[in-house]
Amino acid sequence: MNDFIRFCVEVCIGACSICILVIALNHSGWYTYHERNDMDNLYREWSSNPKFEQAQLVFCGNSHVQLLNDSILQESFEKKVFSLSCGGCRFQDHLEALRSKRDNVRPELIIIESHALFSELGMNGRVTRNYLPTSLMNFFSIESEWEKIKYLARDVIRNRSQIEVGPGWLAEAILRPREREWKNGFRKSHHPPIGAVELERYDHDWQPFSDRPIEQSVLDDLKVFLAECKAEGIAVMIYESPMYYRHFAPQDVRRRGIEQVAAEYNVRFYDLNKMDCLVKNPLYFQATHTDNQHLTVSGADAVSNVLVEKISISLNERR
Amino acid sequence: MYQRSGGKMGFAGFKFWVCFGALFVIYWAALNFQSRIKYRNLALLIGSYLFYASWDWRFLGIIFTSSVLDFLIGLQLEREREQLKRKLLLASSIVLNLGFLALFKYHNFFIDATESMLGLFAPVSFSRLNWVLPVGISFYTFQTISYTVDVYRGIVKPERDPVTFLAYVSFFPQLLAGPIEKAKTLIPQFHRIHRFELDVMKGALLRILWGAFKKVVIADRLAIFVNHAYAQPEELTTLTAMTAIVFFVFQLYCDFSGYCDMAIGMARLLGFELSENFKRPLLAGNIRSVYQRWHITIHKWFKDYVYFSLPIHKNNLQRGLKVLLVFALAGLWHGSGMNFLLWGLLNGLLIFLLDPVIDAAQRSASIILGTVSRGIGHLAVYLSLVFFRAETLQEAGVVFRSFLKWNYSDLAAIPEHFAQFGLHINEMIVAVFFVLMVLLVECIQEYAPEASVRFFRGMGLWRWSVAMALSFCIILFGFYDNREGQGAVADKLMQREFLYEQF
Repeated sequence: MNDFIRFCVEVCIGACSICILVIALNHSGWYTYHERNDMDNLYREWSSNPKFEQAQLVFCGNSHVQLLNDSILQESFEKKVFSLSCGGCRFQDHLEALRSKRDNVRPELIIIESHALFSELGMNGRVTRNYLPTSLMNFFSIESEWEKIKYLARDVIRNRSQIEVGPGWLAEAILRPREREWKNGFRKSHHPPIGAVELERYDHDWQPFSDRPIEQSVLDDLKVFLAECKAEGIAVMIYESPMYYRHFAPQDVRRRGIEQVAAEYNVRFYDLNKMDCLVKNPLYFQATHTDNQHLTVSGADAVSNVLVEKISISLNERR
Repeated sequence: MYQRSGGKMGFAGFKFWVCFGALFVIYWAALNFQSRIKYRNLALLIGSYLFYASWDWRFLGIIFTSSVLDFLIGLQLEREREQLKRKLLLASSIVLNLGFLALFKYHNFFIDATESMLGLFAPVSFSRLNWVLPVGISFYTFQTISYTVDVYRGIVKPERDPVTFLAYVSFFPQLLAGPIEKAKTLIPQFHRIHRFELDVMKGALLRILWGAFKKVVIADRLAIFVNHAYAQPEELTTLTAMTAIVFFVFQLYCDFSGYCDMAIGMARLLGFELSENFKRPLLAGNIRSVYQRWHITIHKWFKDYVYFSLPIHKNNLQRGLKVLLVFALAGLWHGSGMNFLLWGLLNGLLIFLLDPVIDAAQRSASIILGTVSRGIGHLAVYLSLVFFRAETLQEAGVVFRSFLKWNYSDLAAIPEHFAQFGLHINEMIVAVFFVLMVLLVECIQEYAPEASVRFFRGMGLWRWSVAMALSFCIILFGFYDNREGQGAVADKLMQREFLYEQF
């Protein structure tokens, strides 16, 4: 019987050790670090960030904007720049953020990147999470016993694949280079450029991604927003971030939709995909076979320099 | 680790482990005493029946009927002296047991075969029976048949206590997918009081963790790729088809041997000793040896009750035919399709035709020749498993034809190809790492058994560290429910049950 009790005690100690370590891991926040880009987290960050309120140039977009070089942008104009952007962000999300801070935020120019003009997966579809049970009743109302136990370690359990599919996020979470890398909502690109293998693939085995029109509901929202900005005296500029020229088929239908709206509201629209100096340089673009090709560090610098020119035109016109 | 759908209590379910923990404590604290041995066996029987009923309570009727019939036939066999009547009793037991199996498992196979034969004369069509296959029926049916045959042969005495016999047939650690236990090894263990040995218990716990690791971390991970590949075989190229075939070998091995490790570990926690079902088959020297080390109990069953029951062979051809027959039956035991039959026949043929060549090569002085021949033998077995995994012969044909779709650019886009089949490239790398780890452990067990002994007898800190590492691997790398990332996309194609539970 002594051995039996000893065995039970050792198993309990082992189980407790595992639970404590998993709960500690959960509490470290490492496994939710990659979610700080989620809209609810970003909203919290945007609304509490004084840089947003002070910004004179506000960029709205998704990952394409996020990777721009903020030093080039800020130093060229000597104006405060802020990026309302995150991976997968939609224009409607920016609208809500801008409208909610309408009284406090008065930028000179809003720059919209057109890859955010899509309508899938809005904020309404996102899950709101409660990190701790708010009452004992709430705790026991969870249906399965497994759910109850994993409640305390839910982030680790839910995001356990991070260790494999996003080890970079975990490393970043552990090393916390946040202050160094995150500047005014921009961040440094970590994407590798197109190499010889990908170029070969473009030569032999590549079907360019097709031209897809922007949904009418998004264009309608854009029109409403442009009208609001016009009424409040805020200048707007729209641009489309470039991708490698062989990655996509010509985006005529897509471009036409934006051009029509821009012309209607007298807003400048620049499709950077028309600039051969950008789109024909493989070093500027991420080596990928998905339909969302990002800029590399040198690509982000090149696009930022081009944008400086374009923004200057818009700012001069405003004066 | 994960919650299964419905009330099913599988080894990989959280509920099961809560119930098992409770049983374990009650078993050692209150039941495992000489004066309470009947209650202990009754508790094991009730626990086993509740476990089985959690899948579908109607299954209980089948296992109960089958067990009671064999119990009664066993008693009658002992009383009966007349040889003809004894043979009749034995035949009735075999017919009844195989009848259950045929009714629930092979009905559609027989209908298909009849249709095909009659179709030679005129097109006919019979309606199919959509009955659910009771889990574990192939395993406990063979276990009860072995009991009556052994009683008939006088190898064991019939069990007189119905509770013990019913508990033997339905003993929950090995009920769903074996190991198939002979009466002479398992029934006596129900009659004695077990000693609680601390080292044995710790070893059992470690074995359960090792089994769970193999199942949840390796097999279920590889299953995502394999299930995707076989769900869309037309999409396979040479590279992905080869990957799917190799991955299935490791998936099947880790899934089934993981189950067996857990079953053996669990039985040991209750003081029972179950037979080993695997003995490092991936390190076997030839094809015959693969099957002497893979699912040992079923192959031993076929050897003892089919092969040795057939007339003694007088030449190699007759021996070959016997081997073919045994392997054809073993194939059909796994499933009721022509693909399983073909898989069994292929392996029988490989043993008959290829093994002599492999043996000759290994006897030669050349290490290279020996290694290459061993590799060819394994490759042949792995390729034959395409028939085992594919649902139809046509599907297997599509997989084999995809070998011809070679494209050099595939090598440049391996991550994208793997993503197409549900796994992120890093998930693949981790899978390969863990598979190599399993192979390394097996190599140590095979070639340096003293190291294995040192591990279990040496400093406890090592075992403690390994147990903790395995637990963390299961929690952080396991493919159980609610896994986000690449695996989440493939949720429908996740492998939830153990593969052998469906047999």
